Amino acid sequence: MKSYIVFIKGLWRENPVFRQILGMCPTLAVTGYLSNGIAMGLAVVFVLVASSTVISIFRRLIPKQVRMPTFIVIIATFVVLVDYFLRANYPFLSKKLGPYVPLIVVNCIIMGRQEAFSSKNPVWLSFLDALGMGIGFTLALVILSTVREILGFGTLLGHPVLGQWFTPWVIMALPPGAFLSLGVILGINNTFQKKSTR
Amino acid sequence: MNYRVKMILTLLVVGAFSGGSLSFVYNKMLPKIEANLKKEIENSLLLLVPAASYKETSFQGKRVFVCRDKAGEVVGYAIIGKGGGFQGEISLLIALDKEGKKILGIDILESQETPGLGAKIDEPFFKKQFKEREAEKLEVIKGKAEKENDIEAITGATISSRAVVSIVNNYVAILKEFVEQNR
Repeated sequence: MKSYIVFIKGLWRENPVFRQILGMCPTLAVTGYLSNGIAMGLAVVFVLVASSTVISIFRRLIPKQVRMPTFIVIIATFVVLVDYFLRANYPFLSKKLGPYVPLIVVNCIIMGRQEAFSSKNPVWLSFLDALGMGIGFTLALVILSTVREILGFGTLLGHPVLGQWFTPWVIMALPPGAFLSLGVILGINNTFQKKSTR
Repeated sequence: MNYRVKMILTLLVVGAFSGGSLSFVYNKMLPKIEANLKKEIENSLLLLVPAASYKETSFQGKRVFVCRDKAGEVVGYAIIGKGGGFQGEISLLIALDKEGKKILGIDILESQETPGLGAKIDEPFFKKQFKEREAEKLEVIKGKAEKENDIEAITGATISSRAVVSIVNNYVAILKEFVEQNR
């Protein structure tokens, strides 16, 4: 397998959110603001890359019977690191993301990559795979939160982008808005992917 | 090696390494996290009580703040109250006026309630219900508040609303005692 393909597949063809429909909980919950989406995406990139690399290094030493608990402990360690880092340096973001930072532990994208890839592949490829998947996830969150922040608040990263004439669609800032916009984006994405595979 | 021994050894090593590195990082980050919390308390405090300065003391093991205006007159008191919420602990700042008769307001310092439901305890429409209340026992009610001491529960988050009100009740009582003794 070419390393280029390993990296690129997570961005689009196997995008964790749009194609694998994984990690829906943070995708729906924290995409009210673009800043939240970016922060959550970067946190997941870090945890995913770090845990995939570590697990790939030790993949031959971890007994099959206890691989799941071992993976979870390793993932949880990195998640708690991110949580402390945010709480110490970006308290505002940490408060906004709230329980969703610790919940990265159970994000199925991360566990999924360990099971499907990094526990069976060399370190370099696992690193690229994790990076691609993480960026793909961030990309999806950025798209979703851009749509939701513009329509739900009329702002982007807190700056007003639509004029006075615009009345914010409050529903886009609330949970139903997450489902609506995700559904529409998935639909658009499916149409494109069908065309390209035909 | 026996696979059982290998299993136990793997988990032991991973667990020990993870715990060790995290406690190291935690100790490094702790001063910064605490400084952030202190600043947050300060911001909430000045929002609730129009004070120029405040002094923190301890009363029955709780953190109590005496707020004064520019002339040094006491304008109010505040206390940090903690209690169980729907998921984990809720930590509140509760302020009383200088007589200890009226609640000046409350603010949520920390909570882990369900986003979209219980997390609404931090929204103005819920918090402002406590403003200017007599410092007596408050009660949670579903639907429209009728009596003097009724607090309207948040739809879909009755447990979180009850948790906040019970913390307020408990700590208002403690703070009133403090005000009695220090007047």
